[in-house]
Amino acid sequence: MTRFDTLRPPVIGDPTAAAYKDWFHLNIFLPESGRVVLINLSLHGAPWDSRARVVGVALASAADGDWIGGVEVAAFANSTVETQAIFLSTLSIAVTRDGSALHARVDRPEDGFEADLVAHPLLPAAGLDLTAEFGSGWIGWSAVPVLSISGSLKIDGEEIALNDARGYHDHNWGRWFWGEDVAWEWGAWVLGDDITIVAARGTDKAHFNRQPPHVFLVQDRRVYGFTPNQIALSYQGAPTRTVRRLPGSLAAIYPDRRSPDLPQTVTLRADSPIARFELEFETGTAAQLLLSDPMRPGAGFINELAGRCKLVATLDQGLLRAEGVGVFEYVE
Amino acid sequence: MSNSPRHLRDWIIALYTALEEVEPHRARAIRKLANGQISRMVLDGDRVALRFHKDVLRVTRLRASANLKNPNGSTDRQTVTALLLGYMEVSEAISQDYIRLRGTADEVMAICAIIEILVDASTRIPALQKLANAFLATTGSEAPRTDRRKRTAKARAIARRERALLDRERLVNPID
Repeated sequence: MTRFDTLRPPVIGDPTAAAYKDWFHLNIFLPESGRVVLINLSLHGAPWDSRARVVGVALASAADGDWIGGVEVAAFANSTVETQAIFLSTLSIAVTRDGSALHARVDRPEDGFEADLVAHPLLPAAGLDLTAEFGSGWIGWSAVPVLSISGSLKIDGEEIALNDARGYHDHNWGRWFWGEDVAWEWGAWVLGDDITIVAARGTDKAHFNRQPPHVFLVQDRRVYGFTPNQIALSYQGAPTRTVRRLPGSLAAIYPDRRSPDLPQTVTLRADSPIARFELEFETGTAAQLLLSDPMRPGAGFINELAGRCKLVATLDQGLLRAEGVGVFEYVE
Repeated sequence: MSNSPRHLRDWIIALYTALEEVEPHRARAIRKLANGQISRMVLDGDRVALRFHKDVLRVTRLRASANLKNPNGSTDRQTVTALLLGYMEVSEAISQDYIRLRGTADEVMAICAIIEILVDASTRIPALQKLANAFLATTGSEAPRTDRRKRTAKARAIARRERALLDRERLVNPID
């Protein structure tokens, strides 16, 4: 049975602890309204260093293109961090003791975002668990890509009916500093016929040097994997105004990053002997998360693109077409 | 009684002191940018004059009616709150007159560079983050969100009217 992963904090004496990064990420997909919700709790820097920071973000795309939500930044001393949980005053993500469920809570009514959610995995095994070189260090990635989401979600004053909504969770951890010449492209899409598609690859900040991609498609409980030479991930970029940028203090010192070149459409093709598909994702709205390294000067920019998508696939010789919603992260 | 600084003078001194303690090279950069010049700053009804004298920051309160000589910068607490919470961009604050900077081009650029140094350092200096949180605790966060809604609606209405005008005068292709 799938278990949610735990945080991987450094031990005292770890010479690389200053570069420590670790986070729990959760997406909820609401195809009927076209909304994508993200909740992320992250750790930056050695936990015993007073400069190290805990960051919590909750954002939901809205039908009018706006993003509802906010960010909380705190010192470790003002947070509760355990290997299975991160608690800030207004945001938290916690894995249950047995690892079978994940709880996420957001209490930011002033930002129009309130949530009390429980996520359960729907696959018998985790989708992915790997590590790779990343800048001066490395990055780990484990994903639980298909979740059933229950609980309560209130966005912009509106109670959102979850109706057994689908979700995605991953855990990233490793050692690098924001500002290094490293980035990534990552997307998760939830479509009709109980299909989830996930894609990711590491890049440099200019997105010239792209690492081999990881792509898999899940239908019901069946996982279709693809090797890098079976995958084509491409996009058309254009200057795009990001609607919300958080935290505001960092947005203020990077005004030139407000309208970066971002993918307007993303095309993902994959072709194996038993599965073939083409996914077209169209960006509807973009938000930007700015991450400044607390240990030394440098920043990373995570552009969250939410929108609708279409799929044509042949799985085990059966043709299907589906539509849905998704999110694509374009990091600089 | 709270120890939190309240007047603009107190905020400025607290910010600079925290920066000088942890990143003295950046405090030195600020002094170099200020170049011994007297600047005036306004936050709502708080007015101050500040300058570095022999590398020491001196901040003096001004009367509310005092004439503001150049260079000077002024804004209000609502704008600072909206900026910190990500409900307003600096470009919007300046273009919509929520932040006013006056002086020669060099003076205005120096003020911007000083603010940039402070904000950049705030991501690494806990004391600066505490000051930001203390500032936010004195203001509400509901109003910036509502105000942003109103500004967005107003901007969209203006864009619609501009589009209608251009359409009427046949200066653009009609929208399908």
